[in-house]
Amino acid sequence: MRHWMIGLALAALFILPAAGQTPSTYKAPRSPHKDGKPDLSGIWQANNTANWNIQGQSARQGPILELGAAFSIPAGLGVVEGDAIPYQPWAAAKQKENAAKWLTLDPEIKCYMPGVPRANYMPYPFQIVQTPTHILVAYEFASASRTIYMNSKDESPADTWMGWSRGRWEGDTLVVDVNSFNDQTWFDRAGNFHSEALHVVERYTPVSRDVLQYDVTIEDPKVFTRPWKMSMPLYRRAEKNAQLLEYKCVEFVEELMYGNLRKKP
Amino acid sequence: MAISGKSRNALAVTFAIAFMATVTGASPAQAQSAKAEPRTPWGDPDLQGIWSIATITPFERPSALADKAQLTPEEAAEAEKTFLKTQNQDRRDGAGTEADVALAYNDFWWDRGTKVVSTRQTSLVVDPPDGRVPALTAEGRARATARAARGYDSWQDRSLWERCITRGLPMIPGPYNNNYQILQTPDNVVILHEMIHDARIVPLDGRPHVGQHIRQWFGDSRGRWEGNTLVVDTTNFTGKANYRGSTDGLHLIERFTRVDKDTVRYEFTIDDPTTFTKKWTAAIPMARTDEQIYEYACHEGNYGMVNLLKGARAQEKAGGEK
Amino acid sequence: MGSGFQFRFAFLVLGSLAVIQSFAAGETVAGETAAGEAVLGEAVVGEAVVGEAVAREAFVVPTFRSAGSAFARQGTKPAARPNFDGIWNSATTTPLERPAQLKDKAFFTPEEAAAWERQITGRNQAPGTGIGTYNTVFREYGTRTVKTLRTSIITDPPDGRIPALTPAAAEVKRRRLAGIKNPASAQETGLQDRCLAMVTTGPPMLPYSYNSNYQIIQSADAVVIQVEMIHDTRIIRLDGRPHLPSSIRLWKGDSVGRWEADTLVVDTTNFNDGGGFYGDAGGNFGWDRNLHLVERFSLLDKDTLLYRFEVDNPTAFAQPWKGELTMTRSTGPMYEFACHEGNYALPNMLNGERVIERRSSTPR
Repeated sequence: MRHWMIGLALAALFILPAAGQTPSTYKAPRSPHKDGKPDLSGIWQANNTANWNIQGQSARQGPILELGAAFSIPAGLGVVEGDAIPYQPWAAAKQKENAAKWLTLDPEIKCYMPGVPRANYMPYPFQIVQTPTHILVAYEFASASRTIYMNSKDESPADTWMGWSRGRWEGDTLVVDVNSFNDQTWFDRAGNFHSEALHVVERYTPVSRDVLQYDVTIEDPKVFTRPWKMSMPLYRRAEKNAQLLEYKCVEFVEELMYGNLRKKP
Repeated sequence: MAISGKSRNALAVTFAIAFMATVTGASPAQAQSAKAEPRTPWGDPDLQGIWSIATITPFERPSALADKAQLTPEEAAEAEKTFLKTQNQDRRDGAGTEADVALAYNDFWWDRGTKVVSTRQTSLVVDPPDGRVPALTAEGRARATARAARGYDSWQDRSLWERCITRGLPMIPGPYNNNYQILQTPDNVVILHEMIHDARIVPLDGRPHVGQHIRQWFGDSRGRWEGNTLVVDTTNFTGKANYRGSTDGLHLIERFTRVDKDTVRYEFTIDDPTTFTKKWTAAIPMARTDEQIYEYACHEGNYGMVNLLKGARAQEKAGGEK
Repeated sequence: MGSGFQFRFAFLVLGSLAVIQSFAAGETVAGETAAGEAVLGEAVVGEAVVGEAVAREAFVVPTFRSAGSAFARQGTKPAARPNFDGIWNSATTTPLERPAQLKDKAFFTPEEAAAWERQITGRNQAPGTGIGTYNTVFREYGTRTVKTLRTSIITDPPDGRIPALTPAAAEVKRRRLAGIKNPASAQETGLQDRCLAMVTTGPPMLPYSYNSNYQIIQSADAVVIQVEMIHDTRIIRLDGRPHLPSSIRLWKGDSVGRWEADTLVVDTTNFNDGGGFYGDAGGNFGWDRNLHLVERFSLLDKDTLLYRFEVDNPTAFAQPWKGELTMTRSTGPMYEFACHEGNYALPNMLNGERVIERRSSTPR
């Protein structure tokens, strides 16, 4: 009798779900558009260090002396499954070069649109506005936004910063297929990058009233040896008066970008 | 107000006809006949879709049309034909000349539309009745003069769209990308401006405006339904927004009404007593379009700013200053 | 938490009970209880009985409490886990390393201990020579030897002294000490001088001449040790999650704890390159980032906490080494130790160095 109980115990351990993919029995309220789909509308924000580095890292000094501890680099657990990004050898070298020249190369610093998935884990809120045919995601950073075309076979007219998003429902999970990126955006401030062949598949699953589980598969045969995944919760901004404000940062980078062309007094 | 949907509709129709008669001087028979609007599943008027405000109708009424508020159908067709002829940007005005540089974009790039607005009004400004923006206050004039004197010392002298910061509010037709997408939920109406990828999120839940210390390019908007019309009240503009010289005291009121399957009537009122001697209103029909919204990556491709400043610096070096 | 989760949880409970039952049935009830009683009732002299006795236990006891009745039915008693909650002080006259004159003497007799205490206390209270910094108002030297009457905190190697460094580590230490002696910059001074880290935190947690105070707060998920100096908090998680990835290096490393009967065993890895070079005042140890530290916390009696540690770092030390000390329950309170905020010493040290350089440099 003892043996089957041991087997039961071992089986119990294997039934436990893998990290980052906790199956949920939560059932979100349905959309007021009455299409029977869960309502993901609201203001959301990630709360991790992925924008610094999607991989784990220790804390270290920041790049601007005068900013001291206000702008040094925190430690982070990372959001990449297995903590490894499968770069091709040339790309691994390029990522290190990117990281070393972060201040001059990171598009975030120039207030360029951040691309996907980075827009979802920058330290600014974003708002999802959901209708049956279009889901708009408006990002506070740089007033960037993307429209998820639901159940659509339309193709992007051109390569873009924010990609072209087509969505569908799998049960209560919103699955978004994003392609037609240009090669200009990064995944984080640590120089992790991609080519224009980037293909992103996102999964948004409501796991409680105020949490979406966000899982992303990254594929780019020009840069990586295989697809890889990121995973993180997205938290609802639950303040009663929660509202996106403006972070129109173009104005804040003009001196940086054009200052050398200012007329000398 | 506890009015049933049906009688709200009837009220709206009456109101719309009366209003159009006032503006156009035309008989009710010529006014838009308001049909029962589409509704969202939770019962609000449905403004959703992709809309274009491209039009050749001028913003202010040309002096030649002084008191003529509306074109006849024949006059409208004539105007459209003339426009196409005179505004053809594909012509070249002499290679290597400055006139040719001014035609940097040819007609491939322009998207001003080819038609007058469906109401055939002779200007987008509808109040004052002369179709022209009221006079500026003295202070407003002084500010406008100071602004006009600025040149090319730095990006700060250039317009907000040359800087790729924003096209701001209100929505008025421009040279291209006159496209807007409206999405709705019970709590929010979202107006996505194609240029410069701005998503205006208008809460409908009656919450107050944000505090006075928060100033934004798009101000702070609050929406409510009045009958079939979405009324959007916007304050908290930054003084840098500067629409037609307005200040941070600008109070913008916009109205959106679904007139028919293919038209949303957009109307805005500018209220800024330190700049304009009186309030004024413009009305722009938004026409349904089959186009999709494109990504308008302005700042990311802003070679214009760099080249403009380089040119100014080169001119200074060469000894000539403009 | 939906019904699915509860189902899985129930499964795990049942499964674990089965495992416990199968193992427990193979052990004598007496053996298990005896180990527990040995810790609580006897003075621990010589080898640590507890550690070896509980080594027979090979599983993690689940932390839920509902197992109580199930255990009763099986006839076994769960090991009584000590509660370390409270404030503890580790100041002692027992030195870290055994003094040369005590060479192979591992323990004092009670009389010898008392004599030692008088000798050390007298020395501590004598006025110092030289410029002088802190007088005894500022010190908390401790007036007692460790409760076990050992002659040094280091218990292994048997001579009570930290073993030799490997050649590579010795070279690092040589360089670091040169820097500490004549620092060209803040970064070359000791960690303690920079207010980055002090021995009382470690880990291993070693006593100092003041502020050797700790507040321990214990819950089912974690044991938290709040260290007075330098206001640090060690969070030792008990949920069985593995260590952090090796890309993350920390001053205090990453600590994972488990219960072995009535001993909390803490395994710490992921250290950074600090090396334990605290400076002349705090000690210069020379471990490297590969340090693997195992600590054991248990109660000798209700007011005495037995703290043992083992340093395993083959790239830095020729052999592992172990230490042991006792902490005494204290009434506290703990104070805020704002080290960096009042760190006049560091700029003064550096300034002094620059003055010395200027004075000794040849005039041009």
